[in-house]
Amino acid sequence: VSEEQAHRVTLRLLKEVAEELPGGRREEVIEQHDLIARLLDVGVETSCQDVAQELLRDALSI
Amino acid sequence: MRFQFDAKASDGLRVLPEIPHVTPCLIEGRNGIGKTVAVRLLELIAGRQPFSGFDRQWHSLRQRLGRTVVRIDDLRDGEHVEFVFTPESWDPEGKAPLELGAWLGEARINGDLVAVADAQRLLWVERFAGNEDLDDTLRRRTLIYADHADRTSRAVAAAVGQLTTVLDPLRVELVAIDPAELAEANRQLGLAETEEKSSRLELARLVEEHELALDAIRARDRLRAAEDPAQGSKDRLAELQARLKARNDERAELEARIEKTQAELGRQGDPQATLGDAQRAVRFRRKRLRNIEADIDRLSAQLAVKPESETVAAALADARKALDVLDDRRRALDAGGMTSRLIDTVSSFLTGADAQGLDDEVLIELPDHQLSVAQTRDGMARRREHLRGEPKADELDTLAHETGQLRRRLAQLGDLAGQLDEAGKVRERLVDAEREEQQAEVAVKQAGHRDEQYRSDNQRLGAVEEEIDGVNEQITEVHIQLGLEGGQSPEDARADLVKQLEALAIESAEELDEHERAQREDVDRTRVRVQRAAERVTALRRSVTVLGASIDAAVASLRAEDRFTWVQGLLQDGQASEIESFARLRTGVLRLVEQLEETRNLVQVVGQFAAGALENPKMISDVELYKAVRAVLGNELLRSLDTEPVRERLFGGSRVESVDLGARELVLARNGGPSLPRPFDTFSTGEQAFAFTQARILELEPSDRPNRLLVLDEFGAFVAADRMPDLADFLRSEGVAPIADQVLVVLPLQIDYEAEIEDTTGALRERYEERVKQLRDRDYYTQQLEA
Repeated sequence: VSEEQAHRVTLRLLKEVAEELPGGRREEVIEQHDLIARLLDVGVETSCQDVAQELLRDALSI
Repeated sequence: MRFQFDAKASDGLRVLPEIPHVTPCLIEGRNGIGKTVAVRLLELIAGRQPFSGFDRQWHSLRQRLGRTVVRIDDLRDGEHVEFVFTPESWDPEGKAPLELGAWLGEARINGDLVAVADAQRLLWVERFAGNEDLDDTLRRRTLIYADHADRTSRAVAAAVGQLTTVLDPLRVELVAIDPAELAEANRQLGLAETEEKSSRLELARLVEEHELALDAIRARDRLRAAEDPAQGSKDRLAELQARLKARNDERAELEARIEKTQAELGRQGDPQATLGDAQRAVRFRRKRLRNIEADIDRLSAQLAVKPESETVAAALADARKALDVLDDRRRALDAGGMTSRLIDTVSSFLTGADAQGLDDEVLIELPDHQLSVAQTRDGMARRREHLRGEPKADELDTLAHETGQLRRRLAQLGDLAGQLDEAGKVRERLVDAEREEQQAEVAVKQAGHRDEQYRSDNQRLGAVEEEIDGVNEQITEVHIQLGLEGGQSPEDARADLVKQLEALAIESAEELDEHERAQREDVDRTRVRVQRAAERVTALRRSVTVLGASIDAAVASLRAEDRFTWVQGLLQDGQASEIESFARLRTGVLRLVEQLEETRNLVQVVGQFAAGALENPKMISDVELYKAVRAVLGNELLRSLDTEPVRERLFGGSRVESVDLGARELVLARNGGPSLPRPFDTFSTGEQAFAFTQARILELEPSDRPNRLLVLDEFGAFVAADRMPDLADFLRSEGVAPIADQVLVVLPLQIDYEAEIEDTTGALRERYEERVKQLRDRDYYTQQLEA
């Protein structure tokens, strides 16, 4: 199992955990799951500043 | 495959020197001779991290292994591998790495230096711990999930740390200034201005009402003085009233006699009657004129204006002008307050960051001269100082009083003008009446019907009426001297006072003082309220100015500074105000920072919950999340257990319906049969552990690597139970053959073979003698596992 595979397992686990949670909390954990997926990309595919800008752009819904 | 280990280990770490090319191969030896270490090294060469979740052991191996060399011969196609571990290059910190790359060591295939990955592609190693029952297996698997979550948590924490480095300067710039405070200050300012305005209106109303009360008190006091005049005035008034009564009596007597004479004259002829009518008209009009003139004199005296139409018209115009001036003054007072507030707003820009260094620059061009920034700012400061506290409460009171007086004067001047006009008309009518009287007298003379007595009576009547009018005027003068306004009689003054009391909703003049005091207190309280409201408005206006300027400065910094270049594209231009842009960015940044923190916590907590899924902790920080993690892990383990081999070998063909980690039990169901809960620990006997191990081996997917090694470690429980023949049969079975090319069964030393050897004979004795020989040489022996 590689680090990347371990992260994939964790992300899958988180998604399934979210499905076990009630409505509002489920949405919250799914959002956090998606954010984790993007954070794991920091320094791998994209630079830290690019990710920060992208996340901020989403937060501002531009 | 034959494995040779040239150990360079230290600090008591040992590694088996050799594992022969035998399958199934039984390896039995004393504890601490490096049986398991040898297997672990083979797992590492095959690219599998056996220390995942066991970081302490990993670093212990790193520190003690040295450049140990492993040589593997008899590989498929006659290849051989040599692998030199290089623990001096391994990362001394952190978790046991899952990626086993070039740093792990130096690999050679058939003597050629190759990449570590090339060596990994030649070998597959799978190790099973024979002392692991169902409960252990589930625990180990939950720990693997926990380890994965921990790794992800570390990666996320590192990413959040990097992002925080980028976001934090921005957060620091934004967090100190909250646009919501500005919005709230603006809201409060609106309320305060409304309060100030309503307080001022209320104050004006109260001042006016208070003025009415004061007027009523003055009127009441004058009336009291009139009702208790000085003796001289009292005597004079009594004398005049006595004279008035005597003349009124005489007039009544004369009128009666004249009427009688007229009747007699009427019987004697018309000229005399006509003369009488003419004389009566003259008398009536003269009296009317005298009354008007007396009124004119009174108003003229009160107003200090000559009783002339032009003079009165001029006074009226003056009074109206003065009233306009007062109205202008009232507006000016309001304008002063508004100007003061305008200066507050504008001057903040002239003292702010934008005006720095511009003091001598021309700001205002006037026709004849210019004003610099500093001059404008200083001029505004002086003007604000001049207007400070405008409008003043005393000025408002005075203004209301003066306006009331002026309005009353205007009304009286109007009356005077009307009376002058009326006097002119009455004079004209008197001239007409006198002419008619003369004509009637001529007619009477001509007719010769003059009656001396009649004429004498009429003359006397005229004189008496003049005297009555004169007495009335004198009585009025006495009343004026006594202080009654407009020379009113006490009765009239009392009636006016009653009206004033009704207007004030007071029943008795005695209550006036109390009423006035209460009103005065209301005025004072309201004045304080106005003052406080004005101060609050000023303070809030200052807050709004400061907050607005702070936000402008922050936005300017964001737009101009290099360190914020990456965020400048996110600041909106033109579509929204600076404050809206700032508020939006601030909310977004703070929310993002919070989300990052929450996300980092989430994955960390999920890892902790996974590690404790089989426990029943007393304190749980997030019960909802803990239950969800348990449910998901339960489902994961259910999928791993509900397989054909496990069902057949461990559960007697029953299906696994559910796994409840909290209750530490699983629910089994045979087709058509009832569901049956079974605690994990009911599968912990040696036989069941053996069955479970067999099932797990049969579940393995055959690897596509050319050399596959299956290791059954810690299998002492099976030997003790005399199950070795069963194990040998199983390992030679058709199910295992596609999975592994070579199988190792590793055991701790079971018995003292030297002591037992004398009690054995035949083939067993030969096996024991071989084992004793090997044990003497290297503390372990290897043999073909026999059925």
